[in-house]
Amino acid sequence: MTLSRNNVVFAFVAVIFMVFPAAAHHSHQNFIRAEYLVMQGTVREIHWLNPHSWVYLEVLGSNDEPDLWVLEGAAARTLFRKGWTTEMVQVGDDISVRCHPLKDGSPGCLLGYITNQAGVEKEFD
Amino acid sequence: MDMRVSVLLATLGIVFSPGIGLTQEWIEYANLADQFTINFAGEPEITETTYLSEYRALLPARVYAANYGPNRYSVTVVDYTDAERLLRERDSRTRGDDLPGDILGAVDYAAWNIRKRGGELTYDSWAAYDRIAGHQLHITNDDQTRTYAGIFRHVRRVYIVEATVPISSPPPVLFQQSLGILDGEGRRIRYEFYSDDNGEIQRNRVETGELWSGDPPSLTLLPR
Repeated sequence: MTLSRNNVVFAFVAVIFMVFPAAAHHSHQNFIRAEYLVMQGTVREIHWLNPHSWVYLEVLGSNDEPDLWVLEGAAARTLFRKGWTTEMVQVGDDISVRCHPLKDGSPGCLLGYITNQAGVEKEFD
Repeated sequence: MDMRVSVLLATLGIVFSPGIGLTQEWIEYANLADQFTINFAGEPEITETTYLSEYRALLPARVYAANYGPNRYSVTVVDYTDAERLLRERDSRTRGDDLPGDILGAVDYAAWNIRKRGGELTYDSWAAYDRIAGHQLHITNDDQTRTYAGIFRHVRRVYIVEATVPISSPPPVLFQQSLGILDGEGRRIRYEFYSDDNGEIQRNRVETGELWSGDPPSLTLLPR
């Protein structure tokens, strides 16, 4: 899959350390955990839920058509404990993310990190 | 949808898309009778049914289903509690190892049944929720929908989680990956893996501090 350089940075960055919490709700075999996908887009939905929070991110593809990605984060209560607030990421915000994509090639990804509209990068896991 | 509402939503930068269900409400649903929690797209309807096990025991089961537009979400809970008696009633020649095989193979059998439906398998692998082992399947169906399934067994219950959405929608991992299992007291179950002296992977239960109780069930967070 290729995405437009003008709107999206699409890069695989090999990571040396795989970081996921020891208390993760579920196994992550279905994600490519050894690599990060970097994307920029607009938040279309955000669901602060347990056991996972979810961000639906609209990302412009190589044909300038929007693709809607679903991004998995930690439980809402975990994120709030780590200092996240619902004001830090909201529908309509332009953000960038680093996440582990699904192995099946569909537009799903395991967070990772969010850099919010204010330019603050924070772990969303 | 009312045109004025559509314009307002567009102005706010929000796209209404039945495929993702922008107005779809997700709830943290818990059921104490079948001992599970999951994020559902609204309150599910519950249907009593039966399930034919691999060794042909007709087992009681319940289907919890909540649909939103073209998106379909369900959890089928199969109860193997009386499997031994039902196996013997089916066939007096039932062997002593039929019951363990029927239970231990339940996840594999359910996965096989899903694969037999056809479509393109895009993911097919072991998975664990709270270190409860099971299996995940991702399928692109012939009708251009996507099914994401998770199958897990805890003691004598098998949980078959399925979400089917149009292929144009994002993958329904929110539903598929939100299953949690409760014990008989409503406490969420979680294990930790460890290696024993023989190198075998074992598990110990750990406290989650999550207790569901009441009717309808509500969550209390206990100190850990």
